[in-house]
Amino acid sequence: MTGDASAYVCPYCRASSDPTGASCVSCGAAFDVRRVVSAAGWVKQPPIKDMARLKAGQSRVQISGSYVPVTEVDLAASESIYFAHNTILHLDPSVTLTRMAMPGRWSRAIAGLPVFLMTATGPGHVALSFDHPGETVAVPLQHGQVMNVSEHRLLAATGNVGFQIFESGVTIDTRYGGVRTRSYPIGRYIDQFAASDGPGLLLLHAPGNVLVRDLQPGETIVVQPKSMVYMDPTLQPSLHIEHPNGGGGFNNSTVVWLKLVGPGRVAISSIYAPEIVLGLIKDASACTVQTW
Amino acid sequence: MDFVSCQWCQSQSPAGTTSCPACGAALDQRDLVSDSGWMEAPKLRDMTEFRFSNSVCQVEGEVVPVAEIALAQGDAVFFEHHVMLWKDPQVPIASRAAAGGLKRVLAGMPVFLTYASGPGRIAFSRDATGELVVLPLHPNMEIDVREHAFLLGTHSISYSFERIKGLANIVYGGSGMYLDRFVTQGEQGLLILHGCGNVFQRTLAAGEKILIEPGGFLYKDSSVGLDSVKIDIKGPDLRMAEVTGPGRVGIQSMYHHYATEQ
Repeated sequence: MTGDASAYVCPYCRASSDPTGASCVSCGAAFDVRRVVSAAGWVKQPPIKDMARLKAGQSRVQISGSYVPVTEVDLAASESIYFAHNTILHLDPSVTLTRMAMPGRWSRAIAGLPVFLMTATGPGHVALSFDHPGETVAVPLQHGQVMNVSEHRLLAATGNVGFQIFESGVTIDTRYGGVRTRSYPIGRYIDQFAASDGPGLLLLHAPGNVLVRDLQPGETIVVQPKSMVYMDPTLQPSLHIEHPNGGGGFNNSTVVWLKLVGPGRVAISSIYAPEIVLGLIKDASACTVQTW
Repeated sequence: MDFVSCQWCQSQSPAGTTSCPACGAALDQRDLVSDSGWMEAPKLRDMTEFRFSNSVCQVEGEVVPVAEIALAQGDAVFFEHHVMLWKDPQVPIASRAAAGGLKRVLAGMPVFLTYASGPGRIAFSRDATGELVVLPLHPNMEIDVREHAFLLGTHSISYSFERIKGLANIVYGGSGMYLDRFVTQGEQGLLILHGCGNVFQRTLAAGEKILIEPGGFLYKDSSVGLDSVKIDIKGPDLRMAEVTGPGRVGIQSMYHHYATEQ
């Protein structure tokens, strides 16, 4: 085996990597872990090994811990990352923290999302962690690549990755006890990250374990809406609603799915909050309905 | 005879020993230290045993570990009463009021500590995913721990609490009004903490500073300074805990207690 970076393409992030190391320097996937693929085609994203190192520009990233992993970034001078302020665990006094202007401030506040993000600029170390058990997922973005991410999954992104939010457009209107309520099965907003100024790195946190699937053109899958971690923008989300008991009338056994049609990649987490429908569905965004 | 030194608690063991008899750390695995110097607390193998005085502690489980103590005659441990998981019926327990009762009530800390005496078995766990942090205390050591993080201490340890100085430190410090203080005199003791998520320790040189999310602080040597500082981000206040060496500081990665939010 040689150290030729072009000789090895990581099966998880598809980036070229140096096979002489212990893990992919772009996403942290270990080289010595057998690829686990379910019969249906779900690839288990291998947890990043304790103390694995990644590269992002001139900065280095090290992931430590196993239950609630810590992502520590050794920022090079003038390089930066941005993140939600409630994920800081520790930092060197030499790191400069600034507030990052956010689009849609009021909309984000109403949706329960962080109203502002923070930017940390090197040199120095800054470490981030979430507040529940799960996995850190590193998604390297190639120049020009765009990735859509569920709300509350962002751990950090390198400063050269563009960020915007847009309305998911996935809604259900229900009536219960005379009250009409609108719910957002995949969240009201989707975070969109774009590597428009060169390659970048996206670091996400997913509760539980993470599974990845590459859908072929026209291939369809339905998943629990809140299990979605990230997906290619080629996957247009819609709903699939199933009525197990013949439907009609008051029926709280209705199941709401997120429907995705390929081509594109989707990643889901094994811990999620199920979408519970209370009352009658009066209206919904684009969806298909199955009554059993 | 050759000896091997435990990198976590510095105890010496005969060469070939697979786990430290004083803290349970695996001696046949390399320590995990990040590039910036944070050392992961040893991952205690399921069913690992270690000793204090004439008693034995066995660690069971990994996600929410249990510390099971086989107390010898004459040995005792103290703890907050709600961390008891099970015990042999014959193990006597007694509660004693901690000093500064009214202050403790105001601070939301337990007013009574519970003591269990040997012989017999008793087991402890807290209610969050995390790790047991085993800290053998050598004679004449002082260690400060955030409220509600200690699982148990052995009878040779003196327990008190230290009021955090400065209103800003209390309001913004994330550790409440008090730190639990554990002190050993002429005798060795054993302190077991529960850290939420993963636990990391760093030894700071004299004057060395690091900023920590206040809720992530877990413990420190009493020689380590702890202050709340405001970080200017041209917007709402951001408060961090500034710790200053010399000494050890321990942090936990899941600093927001998830279980109690359900």
